[in-house]
Amino acid sequence: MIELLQFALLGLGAGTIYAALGTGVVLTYQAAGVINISLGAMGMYIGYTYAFLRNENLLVLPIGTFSMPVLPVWAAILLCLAIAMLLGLLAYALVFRPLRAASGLLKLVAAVGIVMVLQSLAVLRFPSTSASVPPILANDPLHIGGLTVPWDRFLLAAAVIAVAVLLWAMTRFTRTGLAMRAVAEDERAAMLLGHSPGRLSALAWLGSSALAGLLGILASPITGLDPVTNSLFVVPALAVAIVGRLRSFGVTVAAGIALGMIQSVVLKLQGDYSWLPQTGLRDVLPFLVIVVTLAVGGGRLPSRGTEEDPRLPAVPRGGTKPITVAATLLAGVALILTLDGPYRTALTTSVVAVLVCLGIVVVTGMLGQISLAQMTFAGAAGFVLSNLTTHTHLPFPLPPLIAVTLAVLLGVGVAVPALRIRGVTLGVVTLGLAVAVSEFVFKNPDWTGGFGGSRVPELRLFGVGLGGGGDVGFALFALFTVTACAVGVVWLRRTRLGGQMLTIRANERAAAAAGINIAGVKLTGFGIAAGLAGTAGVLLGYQQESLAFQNFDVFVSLTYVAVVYLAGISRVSGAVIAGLMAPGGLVYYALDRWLELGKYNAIVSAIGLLVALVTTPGGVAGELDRQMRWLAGRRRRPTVPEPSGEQAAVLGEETERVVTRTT
Amino acid sequence: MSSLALRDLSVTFGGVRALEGVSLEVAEGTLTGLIGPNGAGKTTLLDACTGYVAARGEVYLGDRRLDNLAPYRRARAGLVRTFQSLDLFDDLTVAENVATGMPGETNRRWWHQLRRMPSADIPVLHDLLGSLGLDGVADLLPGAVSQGQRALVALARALIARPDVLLLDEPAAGLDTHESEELGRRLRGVCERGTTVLLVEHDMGLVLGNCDHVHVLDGGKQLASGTPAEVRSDPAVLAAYLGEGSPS
Ligand SMILES: Nc1ncnc2c1ncn2[C@@H]1O[C@H](COP(=O)(O)OP(=O)(O)OP(=O)(O)O)[C@@H](O)[C@H]1O
Ligand SMILES: [Mg+2]
Repeated sequence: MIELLQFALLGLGAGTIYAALGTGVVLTYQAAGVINISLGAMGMYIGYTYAFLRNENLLVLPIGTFSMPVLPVWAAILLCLAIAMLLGLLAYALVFRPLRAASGLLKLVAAVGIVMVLQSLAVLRFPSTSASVPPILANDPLHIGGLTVPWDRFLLAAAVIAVAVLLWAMTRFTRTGLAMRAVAEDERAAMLLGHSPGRLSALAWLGSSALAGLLGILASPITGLDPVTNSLFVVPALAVAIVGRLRSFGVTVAAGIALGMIQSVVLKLQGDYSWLPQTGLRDVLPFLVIVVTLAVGGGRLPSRGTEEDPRLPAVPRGGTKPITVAATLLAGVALILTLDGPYRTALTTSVVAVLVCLGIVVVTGMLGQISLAQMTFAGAAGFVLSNLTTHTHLPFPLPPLIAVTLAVLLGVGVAVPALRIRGVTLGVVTLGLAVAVSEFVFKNPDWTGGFGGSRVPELRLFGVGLGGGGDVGFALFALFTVTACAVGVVWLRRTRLGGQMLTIRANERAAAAAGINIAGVKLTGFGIAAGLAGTAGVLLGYQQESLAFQNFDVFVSLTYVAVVYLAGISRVSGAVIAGLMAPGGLVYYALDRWLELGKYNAIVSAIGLLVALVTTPGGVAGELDRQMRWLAGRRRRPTVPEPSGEQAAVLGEETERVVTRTT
Repeated sequence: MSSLALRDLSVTFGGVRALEGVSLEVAEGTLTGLIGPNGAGKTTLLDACTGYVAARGEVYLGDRRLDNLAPYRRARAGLVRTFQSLDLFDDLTVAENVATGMPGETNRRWWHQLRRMPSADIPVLHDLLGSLGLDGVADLLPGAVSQGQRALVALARALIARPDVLLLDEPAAGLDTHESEELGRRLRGVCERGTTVLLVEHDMGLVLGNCDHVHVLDGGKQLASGTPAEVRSDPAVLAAYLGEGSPS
């Protein structure tokens, strides 16, 4: 018992991080309406900055490195916090301020972009050799009763509780705090009262970045530094922020500390009882916390009274023509036959990526739901395929079919919360699921190959081996499979079911009033999307002949959502463009080779994503469509496309005004 | 054709009692009005009937009890409503919006859902759009038509379902006097063709001029009920509308 208590107290360290990041999440949500999933990455980046400042006396900024004299600890911390605040402010000013009226999904995607920037910056700027942070807080062992706990855990917890009390007092007793609550209630009314939502958002970004940075520094001696692991701390932080209903600092901090302590106890129990799963058990806890909180609390988080436009990019009229599909397929075949070496491999990667993107187009573009776990479905299918092909003697179509069926079932299971939860909240649920499955299942060496990877034998059709990687046979097989799926989605868009998905996307209660079975359609849509992702997982397995958990990491899912959004999430053509742009895909690879970006590739694409999001919120496919129409309009010059409705009225007014001015 | 009967319907929002034990009947084949000052609970009553808020009490469509069914099942059973805020599908054209309400769309086995969406030129749809004067805007998005036309689109989407009982929440909002009169005639026609209509409306001319029977709601309770003439002269109703509070 006393031992459990000891472990619980050791968990204060992680708990403090969750509490602090959770507080930051609440702060940015209240003031700026962003579910800020980039706070974990911010803490990580600032942790690195501090480590380099202390260990090497180098001030490493995103651009430029400066030699520094030996700084005292407090000065180094203050300097790093200043950098954190500057980065937070930049993120707000350059990305989130221009997007302030955008949909929750777009803001979420933008936050993904920030995570990608921070991660690639960390990889680029901080060689991992000197990334261990010297202890900052006194960590002499403290003996209470029979317990021995390092002192720093208590100091950390005290620091975070102090910050939370301060924030609470600020929202209660200061004008700024009052303004913040007013803005969260009703942005327009608050504006009329003279509060500036912009100033408050900027303050929230400053505050939450500083908080994330502080914890990144103070806690890194306990947690260590790693670009991916530390960024993922935001998932438990989201869980505890949801326990605080994205509103209460006190509840969030208490939940954060409790979650850290429970995780630590679970870790201890895992060691004591060998029958417990030995990996990832504690990473399942945040997901459970999210699901239970939403189930108990009625699923509805407080929505903010903002003027944001909840709509997704418009659905294209008309739909895809058979000729377009045939031309794309022919171009694909031609490319496969002409390209060679790494280019063909990249093309095959693109083809498989298109399938993942198609799943996102179905679930988000058509059904209007946010799923950040698409690669989880792909991974489930991939690992099942690996197990079936290596451990059983089932003949060809069976293993992939069983694998995809399982992915579909998993997708339908995930849709169950989607029956009650909507929007970005659903995104958070699926994010939690993705992390839980990745840590608990995909990293478990009993079920997958663990770090070594899981083998998938070569695909053989009618006795002929298709090869993998960049072989022509497999590339063609993948192309035809993916084309068949894409045609399926184009066709789905034209069916009644597709129409019902669009009505649910547009307005759920009106869809129900029209007699549409919302639950049924949502479950079907998630199932289809998961099936597409599962098929992609199967193809990925055959292509690489080996799968590892890194293939299905949550950041891969997040990247795909971002890329699809950028390419055009409401259309099938968007999925195709996204597949080409996806990491490792053809355009990505070609740009890498031509521009010789080398190690800068990751950061350049991350920044490119943000720039594109801010400038073309409708997506590349939408923009292409517009340009094509414009071109077509120019070619048929005399027949100016007839303006419609309002547009006509506006045009009429314009001409009238021009006429009156000239006369 | 069916009647609609509500027994002892109550709804509370937190501490607010939006509906307190309302029982009322909408007789088969009638055009019945439901009026009351702002915040009287009219929309809440429609929400409770159609399953959009948690309510205590019973809802009968003819002999069939509906109050434990999901909203979409009540719609399929023949109890169809419109929304005060119209709630059109912004991404679908006017014709497609209306087509979503067609009974054949949803009532079938699942594999029917995999057939093509009906196009806008099927006769029923075409006729309905024509009779409402919407044929000219059939291919526009709802964002591009006038508020009055949007109201008609919402009405058309409900009408095309051929409901037994139709619940309308302020269908005349956004219509001018002439259009409003036109709507009154049209609703009478709908009734004559066999649909029972419950009309929630602030336009007194429309309600008192066309309805067979009128219910008055105030503060979540039924205040009065009778023919338009009776309601018009009811002192309690006058008091409620003149803002002196209910006399009880
Ligand atoms: N979702 C809700 N949460 C809390 N209170 C609500 C909610 N919806 C309605 N109310 C309250 O219930 C009461 C009845 O509202 P309702 O919308 O039914 O009125 P109404 O008669 O339709 O008014 P109007 O003529 O303005 O449309 C009002 O006091 C309203 O403030
Ligand atoms: Mg109302």
